[in-house]
Amino acid sequence: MSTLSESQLERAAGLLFTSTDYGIAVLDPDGRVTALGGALVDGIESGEAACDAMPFLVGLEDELAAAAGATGKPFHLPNLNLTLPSGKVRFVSLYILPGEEPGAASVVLRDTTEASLHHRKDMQRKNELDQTRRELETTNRLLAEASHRAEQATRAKSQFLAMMTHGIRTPMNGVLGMLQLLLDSNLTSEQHSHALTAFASGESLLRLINDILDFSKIEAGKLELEHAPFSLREVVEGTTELLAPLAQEKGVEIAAHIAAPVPDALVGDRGRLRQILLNLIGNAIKFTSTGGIHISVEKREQPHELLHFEVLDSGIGIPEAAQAQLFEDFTQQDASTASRFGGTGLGLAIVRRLVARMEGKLGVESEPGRGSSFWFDVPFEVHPTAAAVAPEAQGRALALSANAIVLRNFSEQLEALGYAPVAASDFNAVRRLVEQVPEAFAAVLVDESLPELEREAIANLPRLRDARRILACAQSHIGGDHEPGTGGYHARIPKPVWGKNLREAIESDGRSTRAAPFVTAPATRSERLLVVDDGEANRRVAHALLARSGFPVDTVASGEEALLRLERDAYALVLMDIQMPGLDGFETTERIRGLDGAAARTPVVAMTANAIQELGERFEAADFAGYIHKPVAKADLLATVDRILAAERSQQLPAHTIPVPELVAAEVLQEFWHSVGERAFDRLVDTYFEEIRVRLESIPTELAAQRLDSVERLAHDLKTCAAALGGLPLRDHAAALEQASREGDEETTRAIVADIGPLGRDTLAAVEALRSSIG
Amino acid sequence: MTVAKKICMLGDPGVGKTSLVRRYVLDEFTDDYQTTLGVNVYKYEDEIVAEGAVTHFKQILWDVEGGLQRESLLANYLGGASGAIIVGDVTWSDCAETMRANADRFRETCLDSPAVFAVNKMDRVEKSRRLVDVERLAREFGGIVKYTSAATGAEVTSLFRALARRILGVAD
Repeated sequence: MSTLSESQLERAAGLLFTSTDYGIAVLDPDGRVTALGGALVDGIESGEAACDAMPFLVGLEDELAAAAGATGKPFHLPNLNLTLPSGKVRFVSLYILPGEEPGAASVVLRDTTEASLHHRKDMQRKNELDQTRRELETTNRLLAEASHRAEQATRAKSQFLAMMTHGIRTPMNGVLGMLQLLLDSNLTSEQHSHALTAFASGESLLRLINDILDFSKIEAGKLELEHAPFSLREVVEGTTELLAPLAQEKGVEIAAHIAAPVPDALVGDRGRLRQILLNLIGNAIKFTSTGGIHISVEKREQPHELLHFEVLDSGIGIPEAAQAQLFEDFTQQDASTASRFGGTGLGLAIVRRLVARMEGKLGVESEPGRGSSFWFDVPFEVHPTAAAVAPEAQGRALALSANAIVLRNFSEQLEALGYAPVAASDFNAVRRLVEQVPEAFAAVLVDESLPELEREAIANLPRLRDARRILACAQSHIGGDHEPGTGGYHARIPKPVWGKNLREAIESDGRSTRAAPFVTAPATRSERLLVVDDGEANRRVAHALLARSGFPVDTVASGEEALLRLERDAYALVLMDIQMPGLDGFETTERIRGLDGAAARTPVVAMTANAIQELGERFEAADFAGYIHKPVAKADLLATVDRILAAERSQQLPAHTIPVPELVAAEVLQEFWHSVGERAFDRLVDTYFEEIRVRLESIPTELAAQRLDSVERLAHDLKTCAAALGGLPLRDHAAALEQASREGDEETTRAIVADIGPLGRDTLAAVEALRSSIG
Repeated sequence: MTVAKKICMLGDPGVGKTSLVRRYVLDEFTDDYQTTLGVNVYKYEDEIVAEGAVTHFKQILWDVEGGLQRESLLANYLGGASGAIIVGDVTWSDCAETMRANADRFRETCLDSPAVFAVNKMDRVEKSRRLVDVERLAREFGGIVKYTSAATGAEVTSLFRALARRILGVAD
């Protein structure tokens, strides 16, 4: 390689200097321009001071001197955006180089606009990103500050709300109590209707207040979670069973299943879990009109203590856009939803907070028209008890229902008992299955909703002759006196089907098949109570409240009468008004303690409109088992009575409380009263009485004459009348009679007719006794 | 009397150095952010009146790329500066820290040259906002802090004139 010759270099330099991309100014030792070349120094005049001609050299005097000096040190600054002497703005590199003469320097400019373009774009991008990041950071910080402030404000607000609602609740109870009294006084039907509306409104206001109180308690961080052992099965089955009648009334099936590896004995807050489930299932029922609802509990793989709950429905579904707002406070899908389905819109907000409080996660998947799935994952501690035992293998079972939820319920519960279920949705499918499956069927579980003919045909299939055949029916269809074997089935159990009921029904020997481990009417209490009050309205309120809860109640108007009663009859508890003319509550109680025998130990509950403090020493000295405020609030009254009776029972031998089925469901009668009004009520009850009496008399006659079709018709009418008055046992008897006579089962018919006469008379007497306290 | 001096604008990218200079020199402002590569060099002549005398102060303003990582290049850009305006963004939580880093860097190169501090973008916050940490920092450099807004022009001229007076050594 040869170096360039001097002339080549000169030529090259010449080319450079004539190029428009360059400029060179040669300076003399005084810093004046002596020679110029290239377009970038256009506008400079020879002899001009360099710093005047090129102001960007101000501050670079040291560098100019260094280049001009003995060492001839060059200096370079890239990327200067300058106004050139010509007035043009260019992007340049600046060089300060040693000049030809000693003590002089030259300034060289090179246009780098093009070259820097790329670089500039890169930087722009980088800095813009940086800027965005900063803006985000700032926004986040501001948001965090704002949300912190908001949280504090919310907390304060919630505390206030909790306090307020509590404060509202107390007078509301007073209002409701007084309305209760007013309702029991002599009112015209118009006045009564007004008072009733006020009472109903008050009650719904109280419900709303309770919701808000719950909600604000959680919000204010005041909600303490319980940490106690509980049975998961009990909670899930309990809530499902509680709401099943509500669903079944709408023709919606409901079932629940807890997957096998989920432990039953857990530690946590059973009440709050129940509240979450009640809310979600209640919502599902509200928004579902066909199909069903299925509740499932599974174990999450990771982490292992997490349980996955799902409430799946085939309801109206939720549009995707609305799903996000769903758990917001006071939000319902839209105003029309609220008016169609009611509710405060707080339910889901409470659920969200409860789940969060339990350190869980809540979600929803939904498709309009297809249904919704609400799920939550909550960690629970497992109570260290014996691990669940896998069920023994039980053989083949057949599950049959036209409803997918019911079929799922059947299969899951059969499987849980160790059966290998095959599912079918109609008779034809059953026939095919029975032909295909070689082994024998041990059990058959059939939905009662199937047409009767199909049910019978299935029961009569030869291949199923040796199987235990169980019918599952809506809860409202249970409770009658159905003989085993009715319609070719061994037992009837309520839907949804639980392992326990199912096992009992399958394993029972065919006798105890009246599987009714649930109660539809409130249990009747055997403890007789005495109410002592000089005010008639008060007596009636207390009587009505206690009688409706199943207690036999007597009332007297004075202390003297009370003493006479107690000498004659035994009472489990006395409710004693304090202020009475004649013997007041204190004196009467004192004299009760002086009675002979067990009567002296009868617990007495004081009823007073005063604050206890106002009654002072006399109250403390008196031997009261407790006290309640007047006007009497139902919850207070029942809680006090229950508490004292329980305490009494625990001191005595387990006794005399044998629950007998209640003849008349007071709330049905009450409902009837509400729906028809006072005057019509009396007339209609009289009419029903007559209808029932006539049929009770006719049925034995018709049976004696062998006219079973006539018995069937009479039984049908009897069933309707009995149901209207709340006589549920009578209704069920009549239903059984109707079925037996229709099936021509004379023996069963005869047995039921023998029972139905006395039952009918008792029912009428019970209605008669109740009707005065209704309203 | 005419004096020509080199003045540097220093600060992190995006704090508004270019905007301040353009507001001062050209009395214009744009929201459109253009990153500065290298240095924008401007010339602006102002008249500084002190004790009855008028000084024609020719400022060569070096608006230096923010966040420049090449220390030697930055030193070359800053070299020979008679003063600096250290700019920060009031909306940043670390405004004072970034200003301190830039002030320190300027001091390393230019030793005794004065610096004044511009807390910029005041149009985006409450007018009365004051940054204690920046004021503390400024005290080490002569104590001048201006709360500026290139967008509205607030305190921009007074910022540059305050530095000019410091450079010229005349009282405010």
